[in-house]
Amino acid sequence: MKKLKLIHIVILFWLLILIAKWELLYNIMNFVLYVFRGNVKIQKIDIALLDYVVATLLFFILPFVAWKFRKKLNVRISGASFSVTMFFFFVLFAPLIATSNPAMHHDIKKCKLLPPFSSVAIEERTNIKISNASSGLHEFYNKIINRGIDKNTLYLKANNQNNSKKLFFLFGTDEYGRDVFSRILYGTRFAFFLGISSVIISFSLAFLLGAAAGFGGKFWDNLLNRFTEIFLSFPFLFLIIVFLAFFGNSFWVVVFVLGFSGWMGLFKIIRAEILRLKSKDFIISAKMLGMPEYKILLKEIFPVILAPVTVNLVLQFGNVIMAESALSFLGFGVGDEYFSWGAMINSGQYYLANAWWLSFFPSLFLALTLITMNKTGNELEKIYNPGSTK
Amino acid sequence: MEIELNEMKKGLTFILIKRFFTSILLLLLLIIFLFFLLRISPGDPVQKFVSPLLSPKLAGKVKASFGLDKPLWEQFFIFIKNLVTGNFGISYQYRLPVLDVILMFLPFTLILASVSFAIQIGTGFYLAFVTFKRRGGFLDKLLSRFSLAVYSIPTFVLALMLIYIFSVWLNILPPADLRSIEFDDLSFFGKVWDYLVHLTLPVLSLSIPGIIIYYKYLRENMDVENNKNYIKYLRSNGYDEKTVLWKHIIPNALDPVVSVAGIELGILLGGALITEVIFNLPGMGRLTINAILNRDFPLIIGCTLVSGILIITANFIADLVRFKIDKRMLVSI
Repeated sequence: MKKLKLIHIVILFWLLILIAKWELLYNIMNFVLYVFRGNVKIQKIDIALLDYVVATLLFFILPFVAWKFRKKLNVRISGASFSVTMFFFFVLFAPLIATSNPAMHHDIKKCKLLPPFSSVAIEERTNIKISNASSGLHEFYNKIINRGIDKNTLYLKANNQNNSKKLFFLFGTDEYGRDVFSRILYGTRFAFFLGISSVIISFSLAFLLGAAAGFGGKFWDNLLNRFTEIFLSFPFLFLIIVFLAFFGNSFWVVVFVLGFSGWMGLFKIIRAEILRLKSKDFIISAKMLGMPEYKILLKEIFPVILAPVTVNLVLQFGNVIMAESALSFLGFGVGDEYFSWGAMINSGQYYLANAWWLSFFPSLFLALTLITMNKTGNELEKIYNPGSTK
Repeated sequence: MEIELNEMKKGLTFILIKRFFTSILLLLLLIIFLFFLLRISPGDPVQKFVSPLLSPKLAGKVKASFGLDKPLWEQFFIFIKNLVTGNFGISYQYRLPVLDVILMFLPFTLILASVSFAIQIGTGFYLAFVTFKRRGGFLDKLLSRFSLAVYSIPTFVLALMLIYIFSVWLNILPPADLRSIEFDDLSFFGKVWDYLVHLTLPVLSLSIPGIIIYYKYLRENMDVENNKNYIKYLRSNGYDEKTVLWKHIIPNALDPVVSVAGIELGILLGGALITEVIFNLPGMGRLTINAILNRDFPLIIGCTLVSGILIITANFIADLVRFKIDKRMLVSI
């Protein structure tokens, strides 16, 4: 175990996906070649299909990228780096890893509230096209995407009995016969995307205000500092809920609200760093050479600040994910069209007595993400300030 | 020397009062902001009681009774006038003065917050002391390994885990509510026992994260202090462990813990929102959520004001305690 390196884990995950899903990968690559040869023109861009194609292309590019960074990946594995790698694979290759479409309601007679590790034989339905545009494209299309409703196809029961396929549910199914594992996978993607966008908003806000406090003179510095200190002691969840309840809750509203409520800690660090850097020689010489202030800020201060702030950004990322799942749990989240862990836990709590897996697995992933983020933050802090005893 | 101390005290009262008043001012600004936010938000609170399509006249009457028919600036003027006289208006939902409604829900939150705060402080400090005394022992290793994991788990996940273990699996504690159905038929001790049984899980799920927070902060600071030179000097001069621990390490390690405690207490007093929703308890958090969901404007503002005042008070107390421990704090403010 001691000789296990990060690169081995990457290779292991890659091979696992390759072995388990070679048929799907083969189909998608065939589809891509089919389109590239110009046999068929795509009239409209299907997001789901695009998702599959992009994931596959990334999947085949990954070994080259890993080869390029092989020296950086050649470090000993730790708990945090292992789970970061795992989540990285989950986020990038969610459509490849997923065992079924996360929104697909499987046959509710057979697939309702199945326990984990259960497999069910389901009669496959043959697809009969209604539209006349018959092409090989459609064939590939059906092989790739297992979707719940397709407007152009009509599902009919097959006449012969042999035409059944086996479905495997790793984490069981929920009350509508949806695969919990696939939903959690897509939930990882959603949570990470939301966290990153909201952290970017927090960071840019904190950077702007920090620059205003650092360069704007004593008055602005005092005002912003006082404001921040008092804002830090108010529980923001309440204001967020007021805003979401009264002004609707779409994805971007949630992202912006969470981003706007998380700038205080970052602002304090950035302000302190700017005040510290202002008296350094390289800034003074830049000023003497006649560099305008905004250029000093962007070219001299920004790169220096990024390193100490990274720790805080990682922790803030975890906080945002937790806040979003808490909001979704309370019913103020982004809505049902997104796969939010909090919403899954919330709908699972009503089945706690007879279907524990509904809320257990999303909780597990949520807790794992938060632990990973906190641990990563701690490890980064050790790298940046080796002297601290934490 | 005496003069200096007097000046320090004067400075302290000045600074603390200034802090207190800026906080109050900010709270007022927050409430005014909230007032306009609620008024400009889409949707109509009247629709919950009578549809304007059904009877426009009646809807107009209800609207007038809420005071929402006047122009915005006039509403604001009335609102400020009422705020100064201590009248928060009448709750749309309960049809009672807002203060009366809040007073129905506040005692429960106060009790829950103080009980869980006491448990958090007591257990957290105890764990920190025990593991500090036996560094490298079994408990120390266990806690240092798992404290981060427990600290990272969100409250609602913890609460659901506790409900699953104690209510579904072991079936020994009730999963929700404040009292059982046959509460009125019970004897006095039966009633007390009933409350205790029902409050165990909420108090546990509120306390466990707090325990870990206090343990972590205190333990880390104690380690930092322990490695400093003056402690080594004291030890090498033959002071006994007890004096070193209680007179030197703990007072110096306590300062950041107290400010964290102030924030934590404030959050607890403002209503343990998620815990109250999960366990269906009648506290300030759930009252606020219900007020928001029902668009009960006066009640939302009243709840904000009361929780804000409690939060400010908690922080104020924390500042006082910090000053009591370490007088140099004046410089840091």
